[in-house]
Amino acid sequence: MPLDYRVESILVADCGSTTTKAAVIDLVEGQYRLVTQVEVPSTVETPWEDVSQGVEHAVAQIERASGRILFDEQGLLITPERAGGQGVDAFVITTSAVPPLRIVLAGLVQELSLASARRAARSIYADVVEVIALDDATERRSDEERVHLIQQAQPDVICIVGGTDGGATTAVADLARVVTLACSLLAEGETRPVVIFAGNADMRLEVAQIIGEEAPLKVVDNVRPTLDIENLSPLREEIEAIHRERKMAGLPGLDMLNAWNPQAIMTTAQAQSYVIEYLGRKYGSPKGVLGVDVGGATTVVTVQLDGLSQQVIRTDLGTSYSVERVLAQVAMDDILRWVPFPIEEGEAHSLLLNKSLRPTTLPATYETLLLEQALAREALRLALAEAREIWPIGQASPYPHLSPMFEPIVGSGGVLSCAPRPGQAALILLDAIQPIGVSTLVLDSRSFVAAMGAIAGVNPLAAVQAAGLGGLVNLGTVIAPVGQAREGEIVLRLKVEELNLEMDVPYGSLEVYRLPSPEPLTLRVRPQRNFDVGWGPGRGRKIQFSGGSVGLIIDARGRPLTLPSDRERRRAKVQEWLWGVGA
Amino acid sequence: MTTIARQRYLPVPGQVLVQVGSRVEPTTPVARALLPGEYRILNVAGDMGIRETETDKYLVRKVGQQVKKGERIAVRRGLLFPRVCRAPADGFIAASGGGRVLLETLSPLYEVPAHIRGQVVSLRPNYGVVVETVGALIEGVWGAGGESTGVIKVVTERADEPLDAEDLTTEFSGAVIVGGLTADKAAIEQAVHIEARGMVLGSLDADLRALAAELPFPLIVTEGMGRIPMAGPIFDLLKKHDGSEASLSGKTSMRWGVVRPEIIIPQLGKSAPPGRERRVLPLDVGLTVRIISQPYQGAVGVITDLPYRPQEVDSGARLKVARVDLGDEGVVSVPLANLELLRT
Repeated sequence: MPLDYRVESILVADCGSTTTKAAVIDLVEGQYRLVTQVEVPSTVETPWEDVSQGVEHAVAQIERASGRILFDEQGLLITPERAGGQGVDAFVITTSAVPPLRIVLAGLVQELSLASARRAARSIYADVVEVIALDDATERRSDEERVHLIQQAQPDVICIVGGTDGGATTAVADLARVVTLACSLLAEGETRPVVIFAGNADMRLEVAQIIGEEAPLKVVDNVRPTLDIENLSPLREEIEAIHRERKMAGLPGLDMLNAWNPQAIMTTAQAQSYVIEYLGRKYGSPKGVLGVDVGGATTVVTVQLDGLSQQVIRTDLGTSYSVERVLAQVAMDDILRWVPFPIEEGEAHSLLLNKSLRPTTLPATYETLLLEQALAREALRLALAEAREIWPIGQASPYPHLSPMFEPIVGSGGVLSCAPRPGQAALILLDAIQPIGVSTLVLDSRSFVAAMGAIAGVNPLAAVQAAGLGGLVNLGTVIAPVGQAREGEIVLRLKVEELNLEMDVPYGSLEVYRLPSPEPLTLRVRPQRNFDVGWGPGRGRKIQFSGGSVGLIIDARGRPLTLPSDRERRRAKVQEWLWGVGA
Repeated sequence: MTTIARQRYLPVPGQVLVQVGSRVEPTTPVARALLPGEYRILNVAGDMGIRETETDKYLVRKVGQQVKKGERIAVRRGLLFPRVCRAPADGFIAASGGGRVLLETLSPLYEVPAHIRGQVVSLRPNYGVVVETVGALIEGVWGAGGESTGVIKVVTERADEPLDAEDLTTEFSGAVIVGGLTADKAAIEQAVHIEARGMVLGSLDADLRALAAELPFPLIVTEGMGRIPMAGPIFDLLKKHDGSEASLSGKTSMRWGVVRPEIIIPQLGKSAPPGRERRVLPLDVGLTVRIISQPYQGAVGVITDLPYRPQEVDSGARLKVARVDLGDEGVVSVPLANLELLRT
């Protein structure tokens, strides 16, 4: 609802699965600044099961830390701000602690319509809990088994896809019949799943007749109208609307927060996507913008690439609640390749699982910290691999088998923002993303990106100014040349002109130059003729850059990054890289 | 000692067998129902050569009705011979639609036992009851298996001692076996062999989780995965109740409604002290806490100081910590997030 007064002070709360953050943004000397921010344990789970308690706790801490009164005598938030400075003008909420929608996908062909439906579902907080594929030769399930599987899955949504427009009809009708029978066995009322039909448009009427009164039916445009066209948006929007209605609205405690009259309630991922879109417009470079958020339960990858905005939400990848599901998808050896010390697989397994059993604990030893960071690399790598399936290959992707070029790369989430050394956060991003060319690494050290996206709807200027004044941390500029050479061979010559600092960069190295001031400097980049830093092989340029909290990072380890197969050598390399970034 | 109430509900509507005020034993059935069996889909329209939309007209058994194997479900009368669709098994008609009929075969009667010795304090018609008791409640961190009841037998001398298969003689048949540190595969298999009713361990090798999930009894871990000694006060409490009856539930769920495994030791005839309901207390100097993460995981101590400013811990992070006196191991700094208040 539009406000009839100017918004100068904003309270923003982000309710995550593990932590709840709250911050006040206010106008100070003509500029919007993040004036106070606190972080407390989340209260979404037992014994509280009420997100509002965590927010109340956080706001009370803000009151204590800043001396600013935010609640009135009834315990309600004071809005708008009073003349004496009590209260705030606006309140916005973001949350990633909403249960994901449970989705069953039913379709004809795994590689076509079902793959498209899966991609649509992955851009929402959703868990694909079962897939019924008619072409699944390995399973050879009977209809009875399919009915049973749907019933066991207890879905919120059953999505029927299949048949190009004007294509298959009989198989689609058969699927609809199986779904109808399964729905009739599930509890009636609000918990009965919504059926979405996103298949052959010619079958809409018949599917509606088959489903009848057995389940609420939504019909959207075919997710695969022809074999070579994919149309994800209508299905994605429908699933998102159901998520808002069935899950977001039912988040325990949200009704209490609604009593504070929030101007916006949105998912953390949605807010992040607004920010990445904004950065894409702001930078306006031919490169893409990448945002990654590695949380305790969920990993989100958001890009603005070649004018398109794409997001992948993996509710099964995270560093605490989702550890077990990460371990089910990644070999332990792949996780342990990122740690510089020897550790038995069984011990590592136990340490990681214990984090999932006690999700709010923090790594207190160097070993558990690096193990958690190693898991984060693999969780992020999996999410990125899936995200890349839908990224357009255009101007920003000169090497389709490698990462596109990004400017900037924004890292969010507890494992990054709570890394004791900024170099650790930078190295997680470098190892998992393997950026190419020249990029700036930005750390969302105070979980401000989600807040920024939510604030933007209330006061866009406040979001932009506060982000620059304490909300986001520049980790540094990274230069990652693409090319092949022998280890130790010089592949890049650099010169920081103002400092008269010259560097020869050998292949295989990761070097960091800490710079004396955060002021922008001029860097002359000259790659060897078979190496590309984004302007074509052998082409150099002068660029403006600033060092950030880590420094100027030269990642000449090669793309794709390959680690030594010998364990001892690999550990030594990883240790060398950690030391290199000051971690 | 506390008052413990547990819902004992059927997953589907059925019959409640006890009344409010009834005294119940762990094995007393409190509710029963027929659970869904297997499904058979009968293509009535296809088999009888009729249109899908006409199917209902030919059904002689409607949704919800029981049928015997061979009994007629649908009949289409013709000039010479009627076309008949018959039930392939005993069951009932669960659903019909799209020209098909879903036959659900009958399953054996499912009964919900009281699980704990106590008294029925409330009743939800068609679903079940709430049973209340007074006693000790120990919450584990991870568990597997369903529910059981048995007599507690503490097998190891100490909380940091592993269970040895050789120690599990037939003397422990039917018992809830308590081992301090952990149990290896051989010890767990021996527990199955002697028909134990449950196992409570400080920790478990992560690789044995799959084995634990297949056991005929619940297995509960109090500290975590790996080799972590059982917290001293928990071990002592179990030792104190050696020979007492305990009800175990191994059910564990970590998200969207956390469920932890638990051991309930009823002590009927005793009354719970007032004000012992579950609530979250802030950490304070003098309180006893359990450390729930590395290092010192499982250790129990007393908070001696809560420094106002964050302190650097071994990981290099600056965190709010508590100074915890671990007795012989001295006083250590532990992040507040890694402490759990211990109620004894």
